Formats: sequence, C-alpha cells, structure tokens
Amino acid sequence: MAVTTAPHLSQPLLRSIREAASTERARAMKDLDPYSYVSSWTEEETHNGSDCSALVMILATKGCSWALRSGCSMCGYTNDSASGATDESIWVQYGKAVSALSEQRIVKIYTSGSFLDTFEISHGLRLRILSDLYPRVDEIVVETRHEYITRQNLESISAFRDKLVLAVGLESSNDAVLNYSVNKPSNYAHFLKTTKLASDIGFRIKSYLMLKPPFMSEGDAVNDAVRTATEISQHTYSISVNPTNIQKDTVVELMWRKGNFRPPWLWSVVEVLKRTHSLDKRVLSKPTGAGTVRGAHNCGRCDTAVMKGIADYSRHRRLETLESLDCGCRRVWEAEMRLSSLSQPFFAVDYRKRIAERGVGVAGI
Amino acid sequence: MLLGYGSAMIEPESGYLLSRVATLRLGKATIRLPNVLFCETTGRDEYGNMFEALLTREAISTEKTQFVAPRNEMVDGPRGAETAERLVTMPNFIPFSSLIGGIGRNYEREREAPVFVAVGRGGELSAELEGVKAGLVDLSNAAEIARDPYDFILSVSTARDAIGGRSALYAPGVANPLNLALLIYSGVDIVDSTSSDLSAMAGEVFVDGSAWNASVLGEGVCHCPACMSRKADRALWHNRYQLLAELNRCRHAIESGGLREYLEARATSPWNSELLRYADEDFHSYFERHAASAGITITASTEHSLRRPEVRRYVNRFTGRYMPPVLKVLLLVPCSNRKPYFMSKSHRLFASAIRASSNPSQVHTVTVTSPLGLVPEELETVFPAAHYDIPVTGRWSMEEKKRATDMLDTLLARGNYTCVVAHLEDEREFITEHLAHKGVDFVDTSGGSTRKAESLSRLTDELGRGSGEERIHWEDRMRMLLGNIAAFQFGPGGRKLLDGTRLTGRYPNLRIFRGDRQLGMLTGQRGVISLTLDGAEAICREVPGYCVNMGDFDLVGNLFAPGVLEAGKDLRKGDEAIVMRAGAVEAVGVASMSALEMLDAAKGEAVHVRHLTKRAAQA
Repeated sequence: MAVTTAPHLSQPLLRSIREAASTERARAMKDLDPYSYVSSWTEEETHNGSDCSALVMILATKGCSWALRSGCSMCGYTNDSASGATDESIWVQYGKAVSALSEQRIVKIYTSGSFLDTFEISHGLRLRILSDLYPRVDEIVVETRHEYITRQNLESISAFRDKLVLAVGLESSNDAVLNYSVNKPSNYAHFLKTTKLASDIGFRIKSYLMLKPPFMSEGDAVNDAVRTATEISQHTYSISVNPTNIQKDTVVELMWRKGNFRPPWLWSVVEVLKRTHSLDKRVLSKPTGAGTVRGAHNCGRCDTAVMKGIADYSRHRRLETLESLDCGCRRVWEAEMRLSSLSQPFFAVDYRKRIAERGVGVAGI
Repeated sequence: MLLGYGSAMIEPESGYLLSRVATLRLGKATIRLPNVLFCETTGRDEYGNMFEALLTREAISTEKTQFVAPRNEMVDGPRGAETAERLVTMPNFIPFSSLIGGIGRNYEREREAPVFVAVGRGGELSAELEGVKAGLVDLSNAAEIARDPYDFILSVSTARDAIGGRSALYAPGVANPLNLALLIYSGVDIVDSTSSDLSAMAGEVFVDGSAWNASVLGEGVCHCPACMSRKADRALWHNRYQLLAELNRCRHAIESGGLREYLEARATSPWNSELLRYADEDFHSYFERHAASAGITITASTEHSLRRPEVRRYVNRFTGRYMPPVLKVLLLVPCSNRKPYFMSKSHRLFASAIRASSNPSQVHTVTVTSPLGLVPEELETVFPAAHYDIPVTGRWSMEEKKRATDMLDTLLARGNYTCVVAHLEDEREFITEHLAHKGVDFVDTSGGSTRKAESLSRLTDELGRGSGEERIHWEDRMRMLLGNIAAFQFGPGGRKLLDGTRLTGRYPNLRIFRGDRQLGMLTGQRGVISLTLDGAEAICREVPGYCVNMGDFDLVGNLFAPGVLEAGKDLRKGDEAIVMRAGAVEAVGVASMSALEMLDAAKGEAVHVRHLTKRAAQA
C-alpha cells in the first residue's frame, strides 16, 4: 500500500519515526498459542438507545500487517498475535470465545489488526464467522484499517450490513499528526472516500480518534481531538475518543520511560466530550487503563469518580454528568492547558503524583 | 564587548563566569539579559510597568517586549522566526522530535534565523546546534530535561559550548524564584514563568528561599503587591512578583560580583543543591574557563564554597604546577583574617620569631587554611590566596581537613624538607594527627596558642635546631620562590623566566633582571609577575597557553577581539598575556577576556597592553 505523507514533513523525518517504531516493535517477541483467543469479556453497552450487554472477543491472528513493517507509535497489540495462526486455528479460538454468548445482543470481534485484512482473516473465514453470528445477535462490531474498506471487500459482506459496524481507527484528521506522531501510513482523504463508499453501500462506520499521540502538549492534543471529531461527524455513525495509554514495546512507552510522554488527564477526555456534545453524532470514550499511571489519569483522588462520569456520559449522553465533575486538580489541569500553549513541554512528568502525595506541585523544579 | 551575528547582537555590561547582564538585540527587538518572560494567556497585558517582557501565544497590544511562543508544527503548520520592534516571534517546531533513538534526527530547520528551537537533550545538542547562527536558542525540552539536574547542566553546558557566548539561551518551563540564580549561573539567559505559574495553581508558593503551601500567604510572610492587595489569584501573582524580585536580585548579584555567594545561599532545595554539586564537580572546566584570575573577593561561607571554580582551580594548580623550594624546614602556620597573610599581626609575630632563629633562610612557611587547603608563602599574594574571606570558627569539616592533608601529603612527597614544625592553633589537632599517622617526624611548638611569648620563643628555638648551618643567599631563595609564582601563573614552562637572573627590590615588590635587561616584576599590588617584552621573549615558546596570536597588522594600542586569530586556551581574564604576531612577540599585557570570549567577541578589548614592540617606523 502507498505510504502517504503530510505535505510539510520531510521524508527523512518520517523515515526516522518508522525506524524507531520498528526497533521498539522488534522487542515484542511474544508469540501466542494459535488455538487460544487472547481474551474475552462482557461489558455494558447501549443499542438503539437502550442498555444491553456486549460480548467482546480478541482473537490472535498473524498480526497487523502495518505493525509487522513498522507500527503505530502507541500500539502494543503486536504482543497479542500468533505467527502460527491459520483459518482453522482462528475458527477454534472463535468457537471457544463465542460459547460465552447468551443474552448479549452485541458481539465485538477484535484482532490485533484488521478484520478485513485477508493476511489475518481469509475471505472464507470472514464469511464463516459473520454467518454464524448474524442470526444470533443484533449488532456485530469488527475493527479494520480503512485501507481494507474496498468496494470488493464490502460487497462480499454486504449481506450482513444491517447488523455490521465497521470500527476504524482514524486517530486524527491532521495528516501530519497521523503520519509522524501516530506513525500510521494513512491519510484523511482516503478515510473520507471509504466512509462515503461504505455508507453508500449501507454500512455503518464507527471512528476511533486518538487523544494525545506523542510529540504534543495537552492543549494541542485536546484541540486536535475536538477538531477531528468535528470534521468527521458528518461521515461517521459514532465516534470513540481513545486517550493514549502506554503499551509495551512502543515508541510511546520509550518516550514515557524517558520522561517525554505522559498520558492525558481524564479532564482532557471530559473536555473533548463536552466540546463535542453539540455534534449530532454519538461521541463516547472507554479509556483503556484509565486511572493508572499508564493510562489517562488525574490526581489519584478523583479518578474513579471521573471515570464513572465518562462511562455514564458515553452511554446516556447527559451533559450534566460531565459538568458535575470537579476536583482540586482540575485547576492544575486548567493551568496546564493554558500554559502548555506557551511552552510546549509536559512540565514534570510525575506532577500529578506529587500533587497526590504532598498537595503541592513541582517543588524542586 | 559585543558578541553576535550582525542582526543579532549581545552587549554584556558585566558578567560572572557564564552569567551576564547584557542587552540582546534581535533584529529590531531589544531585551535585557538575564530576563524572565512572563506568561500572558488572557490576550491582554495584565502586568505592571516593572515587568519587562511577556510570553504570549499571539501578539497582543503592549508596550513591553513580547515573545510569541513557538507552536507545534504538526498542529499549526510551519512558521519561521520573525522580529519586529518589541516583538519576537519564535519559529514553530515539532516538540520532542529528536529525543529517542534518533527519532526525528533528520529534522531540519533554518539555522540562521534570529531564533532557533532545539529539540534535543544532552550530548545530542552539540550535533543539533552545529552551525546554528541564531541570536536566541530555545532549549525547548528544558522542562523535561530539568527533571534530572545532571541532565540539565549537561544539556545547558553542551548547548552553551556549541553556541558560545554569541547566542542567548532560553530555557522554557523550568524557572521559579528558588532556582533562578542557579539557572542563570548555569548559562541560561532567558527563562519564563510557566513552571512558577503552574506551581501557584497547584498550591505552591515561593517565599524567598523556601517553597511553601499557598496558605502561608495568609500569615503575613510576604508584603509583595499581590499579598498586600489581591484577593483573586493571589498565589499566582505572588509567585510572579517573587520571580521578578529574584531576577532583579540576580542581576544585582552579577553586577556586584557576588552571584556565586548569592546562589550558594539559594542552594538549599534538593534540586538546587544537586545542580550546584554536579556543576562544581563534574562540569568544573565548563565554568572555570570563564573564571577570572583577579578582580573579585571570595566569601567562602558554605560547604559549596570549597568546590567553587576559583578555589578548585587553585587546588588543581597546586597539585599540577607547584614544586616546593629546596629548603630544610617546613613551618606550618594558621591563616589570618587579614590578607595577604604576611601583613597580619599574627604572621608578623611568626616572621620575627623566624628572623630570630639561627638560620631563617632555610625556613619555608606554609599556611594551613580553608577553603584553599595550603598556601605556601610565595603564593600568598596570588589570586585567590589574598582575596578570600571565611567565617572563623576554628571548626573544620571532614572535607576541609581532607583537602589540607591531601595537599600536605603532596607537599611532603615533592619537597626535601628535613624538619617539619607545626605551629598551629585550631588545625593543630588534625594536622599533627595526620603527620603522626603518616610517620612524619614533626615538632609541635604552639602548645595550642601560637601567639604566646613562650610559644614563639619555642618556635625560634626549634627552627634553629632544624635549619642547620647551610645558609641560602636571600636572592637564591627568592629566585626559587619567584620561580614558583611564575610556574603557578604560566605552568612549569614559566620557571624559565628566572634562569640566570638577579633580583632587586624588597618583597613583595621585586624586579627580575637578566644581564641589564629587566624581564619582569612582582608587585604586591597585583600579586603576580608582570612581564616586560624581554620577559615575554624569554618564555613565550614555553607557555603557549598564555599567548595570543594576532593578525598581521601593526598594533598601536590595546589588542581588540577582532584582531585575535588564536587565543591560548589557558588564558583567563586578569592573566598575563603575551601577544604574538607571526611568531614574534608584539606586545605584553593583561587579558581583558577569557580565551573563549576573545574568539567569540566581535568587539571589545582582548588584551590590555602594557608594553608594545617599538618599530623603526614609529620612531
């Protein structure tokens, strides 16, 4: 596939992030059993406005084709793949995972890459899984990079389109952010083309956007997420805000270890949701690893309450849920939002820990 | 002095090591250094007239000088640096982009714009800043680097070494009223108030040398304008006034020559203390290269004073350049408050006791002191031996003791003394213990009080017993001692100055002659040897570190920086400097700048000339 470039970033600069990502990824040597799914659980969801539950299964495929070449700066899911995976072994994994299906009305099938990439899941297996699930649930969510959303691919599964949601990680509508910061060889124009194609055929697209990829201040990150959500709202069925978390063997982890990256505040997630509330599409967030040092977090005292607020809002979209949230650390977040536009750095990385411990900020520095 | 690149110039008024009070001209904008850029995020100038410079996101309406902050190139696209009257727009960049494993190592930016934004840290900066000709270098990642004080001083010194004195250095996101003096001392010219503002929002305020919880402001600890009148944002504005006051104090400290003493008093927080410790121990030469050899008085009243560059240089030179004279008796005496010691009452008493002994010419008097360790009599007039003050408690710390005893070991190992006399007071116990421990035969004459008549007569007796019959002519003795001063001044090659010479005058004012030509003179006032042209001729090939190679033109007065082709690496402000032109001595005088400054400066006196070669053309 063609690697696209943001107009004002030089090729050598991009080459250096590609190499850095693949160096980090080379450490991800974990190779899973091709006959066991990675994990599976049931979570709360909403379907057509009413509460229900969803079965989530993560299948071990041969892995994301992009991750095998370089990989996105935050993605450590290469650790969740099995080089020996075959159609037959994945079918076994699926069988084990789907046995937990009872009253859940939604099934989400994730691989560490793209469901529509035949390198991971062949045409035959794709149809076999969808045909099996289609009569048993109301909604099937699969994840895929938009590069695999082609007319041919869509037509082969168009029979399932009324229940199928294609979840696509756009991450950002800014190609410079996408190419350099996220290190994803996609571009926004292609995303727009595929979403049009998909909706023309009658598919629904759910878009993921990334809150705070590396090389960005907190303020810039919030602005980028809000802008992305606003720009894609006409082209997508729903939007999920994914704050960056620190996964193993990634560029983000390397930067985090060196003190040059910090996951976003939960307040930033709240801010993005508030500022996108007026959009006529559902914007939600289910932050991975939230409340921990590797995930989006606040001062430590308010994390649980704020996470609950975000979860409630994601299901019911009541703005009051977000507006009622507060904590002393929100003032610090506000100051950082303002000041980080003047001085790009993240300030002290253990800043929030210090607030939690001592009630004050960066004493030494 | 004037430093810079044409459109960007720095004009220092005064300085201490790397810090300087100066005017920076960036195109049409002018700003005084050092300075703090105060954050303005409200879109209008909220600051009073006493604040000089603002940091803004977009240009606002103000009479102050404002710096528009660089933005993220990924988000906002590229934008170059620009200057206008009272306005500096910093260029956009990609933050953190060269930090790890070479990510972004090919990130190319305009290297000759008025402002250059550096993204690297530590050793990476020397490659990143190579060839950069900008009036201002922004160390954009400073806040993260500063998490570790060692990384910070490493990064600042690497950047400073790469850009020299010709660019101003801006470290965003690190300053607060507590660490500002240390930052400036490290070589940072410009900082901003972001970190200090953020601390205020997190409930931390700075009150002189302390960081406290903001609630303390209700307890009458501060009477700044914010504390006196403000209700809203009191902590924020309090921190801003503190930062401004600290900036002005630092400027005054630089101008009055007391920055080092000032920051030692600030080295109380762990971060400050660590930074200063690393600076003194691991980055000694970075600072020492800028330390003058004359002109200041050192107050050594903290533990850090022991390691300050001027003091360490003295100790290093003692170890590296000093050879004791060939004399029989080593006499150890305590230091005196008055400098040089021989002018003091106590040392005059010792001197009469020595003169009363049977063979005073064989006695070598060495003073035991802190922070310098040992000062042999011939170095009493040399900087900084005659230019320091210490609190006199008579209590010695382990580190002070170790310095003195280590130097004593060096002295004994190199000297040919046959007798050691300890005439000491507070230092008596640890020195005599050390001598005994090392198996050195010594006589203790003071009984704990050096000035009592019985102690002094005991001293006379013991010196007589130890000094033998062989008398040394005062001129031979003085020649050895002057040789030591020359070696201390110029390195071992300097000793050649005394070969085959005769001396006239009375210590500390002595003239050195070879035949009928005067080579130089020791004066009590300067404390070191001033050369004549003949003296310069005699040693110039032995002391390349103190020679300045000038361009091929006729020197008519003082030598100015643009005329300097090469500057001997050992030259510091105040050192005797030999000016060479195409391999021949052209002049001799006193360095007005350090070697590094001579090469950096576009204008300014490099050597204050004392003697100039006479030419037929001029006659």
